[in-house]
Amino acid sequence: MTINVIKCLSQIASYLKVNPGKITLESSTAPTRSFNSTVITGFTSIIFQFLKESNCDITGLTGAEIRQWLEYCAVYILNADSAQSVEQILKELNDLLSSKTYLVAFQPSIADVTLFYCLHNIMANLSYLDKEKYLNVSRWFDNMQQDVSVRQKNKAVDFSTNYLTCVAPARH
Amino acid sequence: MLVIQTNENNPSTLKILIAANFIRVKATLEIPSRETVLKCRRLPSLTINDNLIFIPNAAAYYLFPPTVNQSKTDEWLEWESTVLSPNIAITLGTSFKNPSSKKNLINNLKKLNDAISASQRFLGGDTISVCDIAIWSTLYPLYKDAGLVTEYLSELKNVSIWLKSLESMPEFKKALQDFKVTAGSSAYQVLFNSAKYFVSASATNDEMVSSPQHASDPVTADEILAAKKAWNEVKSALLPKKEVVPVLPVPGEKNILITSALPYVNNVPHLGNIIGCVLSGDVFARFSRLCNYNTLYICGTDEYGTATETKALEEGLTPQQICDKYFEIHNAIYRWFNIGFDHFGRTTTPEQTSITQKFFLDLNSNGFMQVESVEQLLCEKCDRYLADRFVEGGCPHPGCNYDDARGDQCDSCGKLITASELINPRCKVCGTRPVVKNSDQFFLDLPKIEPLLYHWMKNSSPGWSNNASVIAQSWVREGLKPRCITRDLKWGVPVPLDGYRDKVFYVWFDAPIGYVSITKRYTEHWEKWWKPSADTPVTLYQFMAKDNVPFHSVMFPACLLGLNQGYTLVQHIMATEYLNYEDGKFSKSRGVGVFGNNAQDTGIPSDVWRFYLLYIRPESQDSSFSWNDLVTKNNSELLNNLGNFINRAQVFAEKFFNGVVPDMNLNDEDYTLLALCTREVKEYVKAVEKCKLRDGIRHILTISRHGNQYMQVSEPWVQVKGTDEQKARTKTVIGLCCNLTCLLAVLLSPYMPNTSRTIRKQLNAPDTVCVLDPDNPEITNLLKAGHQLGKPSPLFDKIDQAKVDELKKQFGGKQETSPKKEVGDVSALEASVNQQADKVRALKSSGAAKTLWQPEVNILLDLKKQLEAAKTTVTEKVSTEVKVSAEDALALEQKVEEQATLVRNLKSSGAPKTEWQPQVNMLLELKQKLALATGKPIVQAKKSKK
Repeated sequence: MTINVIKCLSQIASYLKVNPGKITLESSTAPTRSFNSTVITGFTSIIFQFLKESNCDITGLTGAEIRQWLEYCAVYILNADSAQSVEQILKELNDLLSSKTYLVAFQPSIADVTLFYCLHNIMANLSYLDKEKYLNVSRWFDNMQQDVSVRQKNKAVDFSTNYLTCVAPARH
Repeated sequence: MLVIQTNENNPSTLKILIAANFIRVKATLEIPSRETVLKCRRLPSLTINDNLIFIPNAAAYYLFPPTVNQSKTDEWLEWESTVLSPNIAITLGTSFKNPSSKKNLINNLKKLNDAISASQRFLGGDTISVCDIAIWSTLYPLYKDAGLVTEYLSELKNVSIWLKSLESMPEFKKALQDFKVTAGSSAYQVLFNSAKYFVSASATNDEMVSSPQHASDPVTADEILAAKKAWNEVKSALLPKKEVVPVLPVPGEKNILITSALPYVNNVPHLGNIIGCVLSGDVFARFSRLCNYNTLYICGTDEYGTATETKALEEGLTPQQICDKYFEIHNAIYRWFNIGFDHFGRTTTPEQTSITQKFFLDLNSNGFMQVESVEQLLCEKCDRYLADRFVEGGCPHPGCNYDDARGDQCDSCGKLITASELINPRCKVCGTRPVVKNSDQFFLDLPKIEPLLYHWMKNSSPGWSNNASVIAQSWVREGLKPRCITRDLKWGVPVPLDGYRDKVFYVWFDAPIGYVSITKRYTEHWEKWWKPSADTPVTLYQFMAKDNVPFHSVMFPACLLGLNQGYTLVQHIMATEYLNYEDGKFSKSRGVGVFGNNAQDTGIPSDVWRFYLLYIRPESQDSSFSWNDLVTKNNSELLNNLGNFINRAQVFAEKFFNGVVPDMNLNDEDYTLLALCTREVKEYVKAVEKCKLRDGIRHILTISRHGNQYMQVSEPWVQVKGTDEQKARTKTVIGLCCNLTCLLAVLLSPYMPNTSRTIRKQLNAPDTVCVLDPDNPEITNLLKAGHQLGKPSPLFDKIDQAKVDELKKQFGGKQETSPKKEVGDVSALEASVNQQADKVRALKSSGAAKTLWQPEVNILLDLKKQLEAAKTTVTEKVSTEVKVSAEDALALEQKVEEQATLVRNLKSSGAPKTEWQPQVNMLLELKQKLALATGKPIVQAKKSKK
C-alpha cells in the first residue's frame, strides 16, 4: 500500500482545524475514527464527519461533485497498488484537469485537498519526464501546494520547468 | 433535466433510476454508441444541467439525500462502493481466480445480514434511504440468479427478506421496467468493465507479496511442453556466424549499425560517460552479434574545436599533439573496459575533411545554406578571431564586478555572457584589447528543412528512448532557427569556398560526420553501411547521454535529409540520463568521482565495473554510483547468487562424477525449472532488444536464483549418498545445473565478456554454444551427457568494506567546506582571503604564465565563497536572536488580544470561512511574534481545539 490513509486523514483534519480523534486501520482500507464516543468507519465517511464538525456544509450539486471525488479517492486511488493503476489514474486526472483549475467549480474545495494528500507520495516520487507527461496534474498540484495551509509540513514537490533547457543546452 | 448515460445491463444504473423515482423526477436514459462508450471513462453517469457526475452513488445521493441518520448512510454508501461492489464485480464478473475474494464476499453478505436484523426495516432505520437503494441494486443480479442465491444467500434470511420487500416497492418496480438488468454473472462483468475497478496486485498473488519483482505465475502445461520439446530436440543446432573483417551488410539478413557518441578528446571520461554511451553500445553490439546479426560498432574521439585549442595552450602543446596524447588515453581506457568496437577512430583524418566538405558543398548547392554577418572579437596582435573562451574581461552583469569572466560564462556569478558585452575585454593569450569586427558565417537553414525533419521524426521517434523523443519534440515545438556552422578558428575542417577558406566548421557540424568518416577508415565499402541499397536495409542505433540528443535527433538528421542522397538515418536513439557520483556530480577539477583511468587502479576487475554500471544504468531517471551499493551488489548478486550457483554445480560434478556431465533423465519438476528459465530468457531477449539493459541483467540473475533454489530443494549432497534411485536423481540435477551454467555464460557474454569466457573455459564448452535465436529463444541441451568439463574455480572475489572506505576517501575529493563554520571563523577567513589576494596580485604582476597563477586564483575564489557563507550564517544567527524590549512585548500582547476578539466576533456572526480565515492567520502571526519576543512557545492546543 503506497498511501498512508491515517496520515491523509490527519492532514485533512488539521486542514479543517478539527480534532482528528483516534484513527485506526483495521482492515486493509477502511479506517475507523473514534472521537467523543462517536465511531465512524470509512475514509469518506470520516471526512464527512470532519466537515460536519468544522461546520462546512456541502449540499446541492457542488456537494454531489465533492462526494464523487471523495469516493473516487477511496475506490480508486487508495487501491492503486501497482504502477499501471497509478499511471491510469494520472492519465485520467491529466485529461480531466486539462480544462479545469480545480476539481469542483472555480475554487479549491475539500475534494482538491483530499486528492492532494492522496497523491502527494506519488507526485513526490515522479520522474521529471513523468511530471512533464502529466503536465496538467503537475500544474494543479503545484498550484495546490502553494497554499501553506494545504501543504502543511509536506515537502514541496519540485516542478522546475527549466529541466528541458538544462538537458538540451547548445553545447559546442 | 436529468440524463443518465449508461451501457446496457449495468446494475449501477438502477441506483440512479430508483433514486430519481423516489423524488418523482423523470430521468432520460441514453445508451451511447460503442465509440462513445470507449471515450467515456466510467458508466453510468448522470448529467444535470451540463454537470457530469460519474460516480453513481454520488448521483443517487444528490437526487435522494437522506433526511436522518446521515453518518450511517455515509458509512453504508462507502462500504457499498469500496467493499461490496468491487468484491462482487471481481468475484462474479471476472476470471481472477482467487479463493479469498469469494470468502470476502460471503463475509460482506453476512455483515449485511447482521445489520439488517439489528435495524428495523431498512439500513438507516424506519425509512428507506439511498444506501438501501445502492446495495439493493448491486445485489440484484445475484438475487435473481437461483444458483448464486443457493450459493451465497441460503443462510442469510434477513438479506433475502430485505431484498424481496424492496423489490415490491413501486419505485423499484418502475426502475426495473425502464431498464433491464439480467440475472447472474454477465451483469457483473458489465459492472467490472464500466466501473474499472483495480484488481489489487496483492489479491491476485497472495503468496508472492514478499518479492514482487519475481512474482511469477505458475508455469502452464503449454510452457512445460515447449520446454520439453526444446530440450529433447535433435535438429541441427544453430551455429554462431564466423567473424569476418570487414563486416558488411548482407541482403536478406539483419544489418545493425551501432554508434556511440564520440567522446570529446580533451577529457578523461568518467564512469558516467562510459555507461552513457560506449558501454551501453558495447552490450547492445555484443548482443546483436550473439543473435547472428551483421553488426558494426563504430566510435572515435571528437577532436576539433575551441576546447582542444584551449587545452593545447594550457599544456604548451600543439592541438594535434594534444589529440594524439588523449586519443591514446581514451583508447586504453575503453580497451580495459573491454569495449569491443569494430573500429575506434578519430575525427582528425583526411576522410573526415573530405566528407565534411562534400556535405557542406552539397547542402549549399541544395539551397540549405545562408550567409549572415556575426559580431566577433578580433585580436589584432595575434591576428585571429577569438573564440568565446579566449576572451576575458569584466562581468557585464550588474552586481558581479568579477574581473576575470570568460567570454561565454562568468565563473563568479555563473551567468551566461555574450563575448562582445564584456567590460574591458582582453585576449586571453596576449592580454591586448580585441576589436569588434563583423565577419560572415554560414548558417544551416533549419527552418527550411523543418517539414522534412518533422515528417521523419514522426515515423522514427517511436523507436527512441523516451527522454530522446521528449527532448527532440521540445526542440521542434519551439521552432527551429538557422544555426551557425562556421567559425573563425584555426583548429577544424576548413571551409572549401573562396573567400571563406580561413574559416573552419563548428564542431557540432563535423562531429556526427565522424561516424561516417570513421566507417570509411574502417572499410572502403563504407557506403554499404551509410548509403545502403534498397535490398540491404541497415538499422542504425545511436547511443548517447541525453545532452547529445539535440545533435543526433535534429541537427545531424536535418543535414542528412537536406543532402537527399539516401544516407542512413537513425532509427533508434538510445539516450541515458545522468549518472551521479555518491549523490553529487563527477568533477575532474575537484577530484570527485572515479574516472576511466582510475577504475583499473582500484583492483576491481573490469567485468565487475561493467556489471555494476549496467545494473545502475540511468535508464529512465538519473541514478547514482555508490561505493556501498557496489559492495552490496558484488557480494550479494555476483558472489552469493551468480558465482555461487555456477561454482556449486561444477565442483559437485568434479567431485562425484569425475568432471563429466552425468546422464540426465528429466522429470516434470526439472521441466518446470526449464520452463521458468525459458520465460526469463525470453524476457531477457525482449528487454535487450529494446535496449533495456538494466532489465536484461536482472533476468540473468533471476535464472541463477531459480537454479540456486532448485539445488537447495533437490539436496544432491544428501541424495548422492542414498539409494540408486536417489543417485540417478542427483545425476539429473547436476547435469541440468551444468547446462544452466552454460546458458548463463551465453546470456552473460554481452554484459561480462571475460566472465563468460572464463565460465565457458571451466565448462570446456565449445565456442559454438555462443548464439541466441532471438525469434524463438529456448533452452536446449547444450552440454550432452558424457561431456568432459574443465577445472572449476571461484569467479568473483569478495570486496571488503575497509577497502571500499579507503577508495571512497580517495575519490571523494578534497573536503573544502565543512558545513559547520563557527562565527569566529569569519575574521580568520577574512585574513586568509587578503593574504591569498596579495599572493595572486604579486604573481600576476610578475608576469608569470597563467598556468602558474590560475590555481592560486581558484583558491582565492574558494576562500571568498567560504567567507560569504560564513558571513550569512552569522547574520542569520543575529536576526533570530533579536529580542524585543519589554514595552514592545506589552504592545504586542494587546494587539493579540484585539485581533482575537475580532476573530471571535466574526466567527460567531456566522461569516463564511473565507472571510474570517485571513483574520485568523493574522492572529496566528501576531501570536508567533509575541512568542518570539517573550521567548515562550505558542500554546498549540488552542489551535486544534475550537
